[in-house]
Amino acid sequence: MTRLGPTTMWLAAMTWGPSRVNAATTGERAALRGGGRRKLGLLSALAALGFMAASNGALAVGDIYVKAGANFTPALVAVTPLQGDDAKVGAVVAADFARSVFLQPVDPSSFPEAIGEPDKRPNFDAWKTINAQFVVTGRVSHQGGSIVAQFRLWDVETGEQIAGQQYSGEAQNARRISHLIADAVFTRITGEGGFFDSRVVFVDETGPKEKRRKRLALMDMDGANMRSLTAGDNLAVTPRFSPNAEQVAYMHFGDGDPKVEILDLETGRRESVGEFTGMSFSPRFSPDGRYLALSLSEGAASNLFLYDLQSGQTTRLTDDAAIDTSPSFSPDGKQIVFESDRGGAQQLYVMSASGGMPQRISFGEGRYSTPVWSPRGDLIAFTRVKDGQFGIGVMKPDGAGERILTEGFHNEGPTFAPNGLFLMFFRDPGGESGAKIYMTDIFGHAEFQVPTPSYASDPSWGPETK
Amino acid sequence: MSEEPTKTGYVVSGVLHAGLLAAVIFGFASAPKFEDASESIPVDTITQSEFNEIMKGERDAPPAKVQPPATPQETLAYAAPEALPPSPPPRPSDEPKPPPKPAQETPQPSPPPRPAQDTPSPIPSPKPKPTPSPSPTPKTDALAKLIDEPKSDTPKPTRAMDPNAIRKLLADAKPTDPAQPAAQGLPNHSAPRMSPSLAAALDAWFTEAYLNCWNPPPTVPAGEKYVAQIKVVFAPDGSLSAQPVLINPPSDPAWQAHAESAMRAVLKCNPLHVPPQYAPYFEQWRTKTVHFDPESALG
Repeated sequence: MTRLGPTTMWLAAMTWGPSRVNAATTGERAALRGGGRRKLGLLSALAALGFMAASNGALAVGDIYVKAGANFTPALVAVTPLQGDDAKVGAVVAADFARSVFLQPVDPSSFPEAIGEPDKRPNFDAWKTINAQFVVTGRVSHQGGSIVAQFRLWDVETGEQIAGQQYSGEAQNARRISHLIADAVFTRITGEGGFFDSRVVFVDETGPKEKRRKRLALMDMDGANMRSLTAGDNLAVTPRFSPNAEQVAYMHFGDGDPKVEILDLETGRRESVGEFTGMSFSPRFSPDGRYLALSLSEGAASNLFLYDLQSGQTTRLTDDAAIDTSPSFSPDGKQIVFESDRGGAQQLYVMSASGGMPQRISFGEGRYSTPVWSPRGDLIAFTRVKDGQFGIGVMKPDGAGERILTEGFHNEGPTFAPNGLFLMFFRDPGGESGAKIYMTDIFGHAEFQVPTPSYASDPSWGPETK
Repeated sequence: MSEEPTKTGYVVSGVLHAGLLAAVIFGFASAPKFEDASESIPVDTITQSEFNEIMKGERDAPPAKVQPPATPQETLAYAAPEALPPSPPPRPSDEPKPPPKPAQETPQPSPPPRPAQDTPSPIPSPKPKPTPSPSPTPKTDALAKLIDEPKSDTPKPTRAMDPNAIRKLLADAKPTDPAQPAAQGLPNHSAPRMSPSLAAALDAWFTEAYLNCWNPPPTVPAGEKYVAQIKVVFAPDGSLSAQPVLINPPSDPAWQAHAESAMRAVLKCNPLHVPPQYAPYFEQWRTKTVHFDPESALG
């Protein structure tokens, strides 16, 4: 009160005046004098009602609360033909978006205008008519054996350019440049990391079902540029990328017990891991690339061990009579999730990466196996077998929020994309055919088959190529 | 007069009691939260002579600083008080100074929101420019002129206030903050008001419209949830009459994509074809703050 200037007080006095305070009392007094408490009651009730009614109207001034929920629509991106693009850079970008779940390319036949000048603002009103939310323009030029590509990302609603970049490289790397452009656009729109410029190591299966030839192979995440890594005379399964994507650890069936080997992608050299008696299998690199976690069989049991790749030292992580296998590190390298049947059916356990008491995290019905920890750290994907159905699911690292993304016969072996938003797994429908690799997002919105020349299984998704 | 209660009395009493009960239940169920304190003005009564004494001022008082009015409400009730003190008010310097109104009209304490400017530049949030309202400066001038009229440069005011002129100015005064509703009892408040159910229906309509326009990013960053709040100002046809303003830019850059998606939603939902039954109540939905709550789809 004392803060108000003198004028306020004077004006207030003039407007509201001391007499108003007394009005009600005066009225009441008049009513009483007029005759009877009844009239007083009537007057008070009417006054109260009037007051209530008058105070009701101010609702619409309230705020609007919009909650994101089940409605999911991808953002529509129009990839206009890049000027000078005969290497089909734009086509690869659009194909990437078509398999990105969160972005969707606009059908080129509905484009309202042809972009003549890629550096100039498009006619946004025209693009709004087809509900495009973003427009990509750009140009590509070839000089000898090299390619230079640049793009601009335009936001149709605000009318601004929100991203732009130029890439150059050898002409044979044109696809990589397309993937880099797609990554840049994806990241700018969704705020998430990219995943298009990455590769997948997997098992390429050929031949009849009784005599299937399984060899390691490498491909881009969209199925392009596939090449074999091993000759295939011996079985090689469960390949796993190293964090820098330079090596692949896998299980090799040669003479004697199956053993873990490491293949160097650059040199092609293969070497056995450790000098273990018995079977070694299920290898997985630590995030810093220093260690390999793997499973060693000891009689009827299998226990987890840590193998130091530099020193060759082996450290025991579990010591029990159960089958512990399929270890996977958390992205910070401090924890390991693995599969164990110590409680009866196979379940998932989390323990410290230096060993220690494991905590069980899966409690649903069925058998839980092949756990993998997301690079984002927020999810663990797994295979669940229940009533003969094989499901790929995710759960939080403490076991909560279990969701099954796909179920059927026979899904197995999830692996996370570098940005933690997608999973690849393989599905074998059984019968005379074979397995194929599929890609899905972690919310289960959509699923795509990854094109491979033959049957394929055991995918392992590598990091974004450096 | 008979003291015995009659049947009519019972009926009337019963009806009024029921009405009171209903009004209390429905009235308070949808009662708005208390408005800012500026809506109510504490009242102290003084006499005319006391006021004149105050207005005369003191001979050795320091010259007044010219400050912008602290709240729009104060501006409404009176023009800049600092303009009134006895010493020659430096009012002409008010005019070239850009009125600080934009900072007050939108309820934001910080400078105009501007997301991180590093390239590529994200969606810029333009300077807040709500419906331009009459700046108080002219009124300050008018009122001050009124006050100072008889003596242009003399340091000592000795003439009396003209209450009629001031009252006239008050009647002409418009609310300077378009977001604040005309409170009960002020002279402007004459528009019809929506019933609670109609207002709720309009809110539901807005919510659904913005939900359909919104493409939230795929995931929700860890940590405290950020709900983007965007202030929109409509024209009667439902189109935006001013640039929408993000009133709470995220301090954590991980939420930048969410803030941008909210702004895109508001821009995409322009113009909104508000159903005609709400048209007469335009004043009540002319400005809205839309909250975009990213409930995680991961559950």
